[in-house]
This record gives sequence, C-alpha cells and structure tokens, in this order.
Amino acid sequence: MKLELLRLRNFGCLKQQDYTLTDGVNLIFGPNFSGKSTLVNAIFFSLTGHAIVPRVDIRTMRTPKSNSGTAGIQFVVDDKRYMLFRGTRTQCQLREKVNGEWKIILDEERVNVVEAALKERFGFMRERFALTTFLREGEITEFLERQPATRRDILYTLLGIDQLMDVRECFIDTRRLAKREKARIDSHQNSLRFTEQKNSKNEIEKVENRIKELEASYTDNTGDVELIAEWKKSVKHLKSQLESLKREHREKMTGFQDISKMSEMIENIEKAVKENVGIESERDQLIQKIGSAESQITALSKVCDNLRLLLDKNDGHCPTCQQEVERDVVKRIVEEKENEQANLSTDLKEYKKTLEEMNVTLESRQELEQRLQTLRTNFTRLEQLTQDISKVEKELSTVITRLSERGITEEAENAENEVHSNSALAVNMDKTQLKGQLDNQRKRLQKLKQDEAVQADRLNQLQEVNIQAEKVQNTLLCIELACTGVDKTIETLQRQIMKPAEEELHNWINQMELFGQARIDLLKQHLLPSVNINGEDRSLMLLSGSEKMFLYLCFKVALAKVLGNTSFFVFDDPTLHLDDERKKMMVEFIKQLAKEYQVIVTSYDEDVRSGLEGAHLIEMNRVEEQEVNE
Amino acid sequence: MDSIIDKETREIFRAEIEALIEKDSKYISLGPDEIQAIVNAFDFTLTNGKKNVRAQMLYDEILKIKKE
Repeated sequence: MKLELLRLRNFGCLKQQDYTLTDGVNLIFGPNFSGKSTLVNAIFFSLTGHAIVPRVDIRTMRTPKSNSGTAGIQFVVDDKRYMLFRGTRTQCQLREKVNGEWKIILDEERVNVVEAALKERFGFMRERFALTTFLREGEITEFLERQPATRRDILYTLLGIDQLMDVRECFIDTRRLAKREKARIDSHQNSLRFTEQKNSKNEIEKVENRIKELEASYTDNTGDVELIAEWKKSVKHLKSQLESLKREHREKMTGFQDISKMSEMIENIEKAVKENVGIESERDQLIQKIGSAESQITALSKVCDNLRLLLDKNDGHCPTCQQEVERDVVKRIVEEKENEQANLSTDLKEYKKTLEEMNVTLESRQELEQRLQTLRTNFTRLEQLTQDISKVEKELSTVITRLSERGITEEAENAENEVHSNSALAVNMDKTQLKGQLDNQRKRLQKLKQDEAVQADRLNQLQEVNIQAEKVQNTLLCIELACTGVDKTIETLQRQIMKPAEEELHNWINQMELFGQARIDLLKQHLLPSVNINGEDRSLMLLSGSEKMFLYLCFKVALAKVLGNTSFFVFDDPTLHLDDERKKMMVEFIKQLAKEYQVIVTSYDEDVRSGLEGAHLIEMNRVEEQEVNE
Repeated sequence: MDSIIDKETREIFRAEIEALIEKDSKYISLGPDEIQAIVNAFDFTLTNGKKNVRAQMLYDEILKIKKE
C-alpha cells in the first residue's frame, strides 16, 4: 500500500489544502503550531475514522466555526487507486479509479459497517495502525504504563487471536455447565446408593416357613374355619384389586387394540418429530434474513434518496468532498441500487411466505410432541399395570388353590356368615397368641417383600444413573481437554507469530548498536515490558528516553513486518528531546527504513531537515501566517 | 488481508489435543470419536462466533458421542 495524496477541508487548524506524498521519506517540516501533528492525525483519521489520540470526539476535529471537516487519503493497493474520504460527522466515502474515472464503491455513515468493509477489503484495523504504523507524542510511556492484561488484549487483537479467546470463553462456560451437571448426577447417585441386603431372600423364605408352621398350629387349634375365612376375605380383596387394575388398564388402552400398536404409534410420532428437529434454528435464521433484508432495503432506499438529492442539487458539487458530481455515473448507480432494492423485496416476500409455512409446521410439531408425551406416560403406566395384574392374579390363584385343597370353591362367596358363627368355637388363650404371632409374621413378610421391591427398583435406577454419570464424566473430560487444547493453540500461534517478530527486533537493535547483547522476549508479560541486556533484565521504563524511543520504533517495525504491514510508517516528531548524536542515529534509522517502506516524519528541527536532504519536503507555516497569506 | 485464524488453526488445535492425550494419562480413555467431537465443537464455535454459540449446544453435542 502506498499513500499518494492527503486532501483536507476544514480539518483541525487547516482549512483547505492537498498534500502530495511520495515514495521514500516525506518530511513534514515546520515550527510549532503549524499543523504537523494535524496532518499525522488527518492520515490516521482518514484511514480509521478515529483520532490518533484516544478518547477524542471526532466531531471536535473540524475547523472552528465550520459545520464539519473532511480528510481524504489517496492510496494505491495492488495497482488499484482508491480515495477514502471521512467526515467529522462519521460520513465515509470510498472511491476507486476505474478507466480514469472515480467510481463510488462505498458511501456509508454507520461506523461498524465502514470498519468491517475496510477491514475485509484492505485489512485496515485501527489497533494495528496505532501500534505498528503510527507513532504519536507520548505514546511510548502510555504503552509501557499499561497493565500486562491490557497489553495482552492488544496483542490478541493484533494477532487475530481474539476469535480464539471467544472460543476459549465458550469452552469455559461449557466446562462450568458440565461440572454442574456432574455434581447433580453425583448427588443423585449418592442418594440412590444403599447397602445391598443379600440375605433378604433367605429371610423371606424363613418367614414364609414360619407362617406355614403357625398356620398349621392355628388350624390344629381352631379348625380350618378362621383360616378359611381369612383366605376368603383375601380372595375378595384381591378380586376387587384386580378389577380396579384391569379397569385402569382398559382406560389407558382406549383407542388401541394392544400395547404393540401403541408402541408403533409412539415410534411413528417420534419419527415425525425428529424429521422437524432444528426447524427453530432455521426459523431464527429466516427471521434474521428478513431483518437483514428489510434493513438493507431501508439503507438502499436512503442511498437512492441521497443520490437523487445530489442529482437535484443545482450547483452540481458534492457537499462532502466539494468535487463535481458525475451525473451519468450517479444516475447509473441509482438505477443499480433500485434494481438491487427490487430484488431484495422479491426475496423478502419469499422469506415471509416460507416463514409462515414454517410456523404452521412448528405448531403441528408441538402438538405432536404433547401427544407423544401423553402416550409415553400411558405406555409406562401400562407396563406397570401389566406387571401388577400378573402379580395379583398369581396371589389370587395361590389363595384359590389353598381353598380348593380344602374343598371350597363356589361356596366361598357364602362362607362369610359361617365364619362369624363358628368363630366362637376358637376362642381360647393359645389361639389368641397364635393369631397374634401369625399376624406379626405376615406383617413382617409383607414388609420384607416391600423392601425387596424397593431395593430392586433402586437398583434399576442406580444402574441407569451410573450409565448417565459415566457419560457426563466423559463429556467433562472432553471439555477439559478442549479448554487446555485451546490454551495450547493460543500459545503455539503466538509463538509462531512472535518468534519471527523477536528475530526481526533483534536484527534492528543490533543494526542500531544500541546496547550490548540485548534479548527481548515478546511473549513474556505480553509485548515489550523489559529487555535483557548482557544477561540482566531491565525494565523499559528505566531506560533513557532515547533508548526507549529507538527500541519502541524497532518494535513497531518488527511487529509490522510480521503482521503484514501496509508498507508505510508515520512518525510524529521522533527526534524530540534527542541530543545531536542520537538525532543523527534517528535520521540514519529513518533512511534505512525508507529503503523498504514509505516513511512520513514530522519535525521542526533544522538538523533533521539537513540530515534528510533529498526527502520529499512538505513545508508548513504557523497558522497565523497561513491566515495572513490567505 | 486474510485472518491469521484459518484452516491451519484447526490443524494446530487437533495436533495439540492429540499431544495432550498422549502426554496426560487422565485423557487415556478418550478415543477418535471424542477427538472428532471436540474438533467439531471448536470448528463450530470458531465459525459461528461466541454470540451464536451457547454452552448447552456444545455440551449436548459432546454428550451424545457414542463410544465404539
């Protein structure tokens, strides 16, 4: 990239002037308050849209008493000539010279849009210009006073590692989520853990035998009457339980011939739901597209309006750059923009139609999901009911068998009364004790069976949770690996980029013969905090002003080379506060640099002027003198 | 100007995680499926940017890996 011309209108202390820039050294020479730093600021502003000094409102950079100021820079990139104008009211216009005519290729006020467009087309980045291309007054101390973390952020932005930092943050968030999930599943796992009672089966067997013995004694003591009465009671209870379970089963099966049909239906719905998974993200993308198309249409309409206004203007000059308006070119652009607008409107209609269709699909999918949820719940309950029914049927069959062994079948329904009439016969002390023991054992058996069922259920749950826990643990491990991997990738990338920068920096330091054996580790504490001179670490803050200046310029040049410099440097008064000997060194440094790059330097020093004899000279006068001359 | 972050970055990332698995025994249980899932998650985040990628999305993607 080569700078050719700087064009200013009402910018800073300069009213209206063009400044030609050439290859090699360009010396902007003049006394204090002649606008040297304004020119440096104007170059920076026209390239980046910002003032070179941080936190300065660009609206204040216009000439006092004027409405707005403009700075334009003409430059060549890849043999193509461009003119970039910036207004202090954030307007920006980029033109390209095609077949001898300037063609507007960007006309925009939105700062973000302009920055993105220029970054994509030319790689313009404010931070990169500020740190590698321009030198402004007071920059060195300001840079060295920064915290390591701030210098690190600058480094990441320069290297383009900020994207990787975003990835790192995403992974860290994911790791946090995975840890939370692991803690949740661990706690669930602990709540389900229990001491397995291996002897519960033996215990049940023992109690069952004991009950049989007691029942036998009880029968001997009371006859079969009471026992039979109990069995009959049990039959009645079990039958009612069975009836209730079967009723619930019938209700849940409503609409289905059998459970396999229900399972088939669930599979079909799952398949249908799965087919429409991801429709939300497609819908979101479509909504974004609609938003984007609408804003583009609005922007295009605004551009057309502006261009039509320009055509309607009587004086035939552009209000931003004061150049004559090429009416034919502008008319053609208006037509192009209108066509583009019409195309976008057609697309927008299509998008809206698709969006409506998607909304309908989404609603039906949500209905299906609700139906699926209900069916799944019913299916699970039916499985449970089938098990329960089979269990109750088994118990009923056992009791009925016992009754039939004693010759009681149909009569069981009418036996209740007999129980009451015969029970009086069985009243005695032994009988009461036996009955008590029998009841206790039965309760115990029931409790043991319940415990066994609970244990089996917990065991099933625990097995499922264990599988889940293993998956979560594996996921956490993967995410931890990803986090460490991103850190390592950042380190490697930095090393790959910064090592050549260090070599370049050492070459320049050696060439300048500034120190003895000097080594700088740019990665340590992130960029230039200290220099190792003859094996001893010294903070840059403790070096002399001239040493700092030379080192900092070498650092800029080295970094610029590694990051793909735009082929020019702009230094605002680099010889300030240097003694004669160091001034000569600086002049030599600039000459050396100019062999490879275009260099723009400002100075008020006659020694620098004579030292840089033959350089393209831009002579500046004090502002009062300029006004008098005008 | 091309960004420094390009295809090469993804290759570096893959190489780094493979090296970590080799070096650190705690990652020994992770196989090619996991590596591929991690690289995909990295690629996805790098392509779509922090604003468009939620932690839950990455978590779910990695959770659904089926071990061979």
